[in-house]
Amino acid sequence: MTRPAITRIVGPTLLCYPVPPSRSSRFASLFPVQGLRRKIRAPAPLCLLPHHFYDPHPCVPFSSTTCLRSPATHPSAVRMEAAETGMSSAASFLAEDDGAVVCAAVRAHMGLLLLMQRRPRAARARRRRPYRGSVLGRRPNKRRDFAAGLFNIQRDYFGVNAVPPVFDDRDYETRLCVPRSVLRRIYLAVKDEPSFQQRISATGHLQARPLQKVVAALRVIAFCEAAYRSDQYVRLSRLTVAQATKLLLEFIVRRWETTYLRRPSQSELKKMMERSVERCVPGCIGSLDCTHWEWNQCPTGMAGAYQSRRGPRGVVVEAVGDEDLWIWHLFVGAPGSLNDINVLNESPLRLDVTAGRWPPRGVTFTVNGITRTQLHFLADGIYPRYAFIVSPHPMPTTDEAMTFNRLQVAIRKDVERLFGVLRKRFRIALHPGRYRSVKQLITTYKAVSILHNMCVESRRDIFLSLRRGARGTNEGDGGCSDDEVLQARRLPPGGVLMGTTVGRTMMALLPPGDLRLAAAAPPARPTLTVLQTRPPH
Amino acid sequence: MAIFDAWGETRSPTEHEQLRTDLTAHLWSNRGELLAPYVV
Repeated sequence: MTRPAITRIVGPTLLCYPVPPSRSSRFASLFPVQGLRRKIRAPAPLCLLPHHFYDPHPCVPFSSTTCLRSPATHPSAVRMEAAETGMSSAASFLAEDDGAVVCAAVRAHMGLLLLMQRRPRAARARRRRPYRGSVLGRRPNKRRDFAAGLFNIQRDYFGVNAVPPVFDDRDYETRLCVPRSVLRRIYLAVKDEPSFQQRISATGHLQARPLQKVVAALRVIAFCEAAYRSDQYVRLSRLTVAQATKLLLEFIVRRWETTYLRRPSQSELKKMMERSVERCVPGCIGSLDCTHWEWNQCPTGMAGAYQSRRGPRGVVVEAVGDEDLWIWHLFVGAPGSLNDINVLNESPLRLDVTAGRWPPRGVTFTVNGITRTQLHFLADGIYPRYAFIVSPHPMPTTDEAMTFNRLQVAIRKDVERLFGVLRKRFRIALHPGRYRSVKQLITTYKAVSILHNMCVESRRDIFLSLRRGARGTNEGDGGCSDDEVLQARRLPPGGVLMGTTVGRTMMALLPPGDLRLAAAAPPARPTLTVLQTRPPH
Repeated sequence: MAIFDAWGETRSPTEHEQLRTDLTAHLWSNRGELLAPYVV
């Protein structure tokens, strides 16, 4: 059997090829000559076809073997018809085609494009240096002495060989910015993570312990120091410290976000209602405000959206805090060009409140003889006049309005104090973020907020105002006397606690000549101070 | 329907003004008790 000169059959080649190999069974009847399709070369794209493809007179005429079309659609007939109508040969092929030829041509064209893309990609892959980890002899490994780093930490904070640690609890929190209980909790949770476990390198040496990585990461979070700074103390490389910091932040968010960044429960709302009544603002469940966090490595393409009105680029952080500095709501990541109103419009807090999902309407409070169910936040004057936001009087003229504004401003400072304490404790939130993505910024601030709430939980009684602290603990069971609080504050006993942040506010509330004030002036700083000493009852 | 009710109720400027007025009156009427610990 004489096979046709396949390579020179141009027209029938395209007619015979439209079948993709995987679907050959559907078109098996179209190929009476077995093996024809295997020997047909891959069709070139239409734009790259040789010039003889457009030749109206092919070298080999169609035969009965290769022509699979009906006489009505015979290419010669089509070409004649096209010549009469003035169409080109390629256009005539497309005109007489039922879609299969175009499909094959497009497929071939795309294959060629992919092939052209694959070549430089493969060349780049060949040029890329393969990552091989630590290999003996590749580069002299630094003899960091991981055991010495671990010994330093144990000697300073935990004690070695029955010798007490160098630093006590106060120094502990100053140096690592978290109490001992919080560090212990983080360490126990993270030490079994695969990226924190002690490993054996390719050279057969034991690597760093989880405690070293946790301490190094906390130093970066607490002091925002460069990753290589911890090398001198914990004996870890820059890459290890940077990776441990990132992984620890992600772990904290993944593990404790639902615990420490949540809405208050029903019982907590009840306690907040009691506190708000004591502060003469019934129904208040916190103070709402925004702050900016500068973004050091903001890409130039995003500068327009993330540049604030003051110049630096950054993101906006919206938070709700109470007087214990607990963060009840956090919304990070809004572009720095937005003001507080726009951030509130995007905030999940507003969406939940306006949709009626939160806060629950079962909690009621009474103001001026009217019982209400809509709880509210204290905010500054820029916020819109919503029913769940209480802002100060814009133009106070009466004593009542001025008094209310003073109280509102003083209580609203809780959230400002919250931002200050958070930044002071975790310097990574104070300095500009050194990340390339907004996602990493969000993760970092969330993790810092979670750590802050964990610290507040462990030391909540210290954050209490002395007015309530003198009455009792945060739980309201009255277990703490004045002398105990004074002793905890290293103040002389026998005094009556007055003059906290709230107390300072209360004195400022008094209109001139209305009531007699305490003898001492308000403290310059909103700290816990004994203003008056008198014998106990 | 509850969503629409909450939408209208929480965004009401009238309710905002009313709540602030009531809080102002509440504070002014209770200022003596509030300031008593700080008065000699």
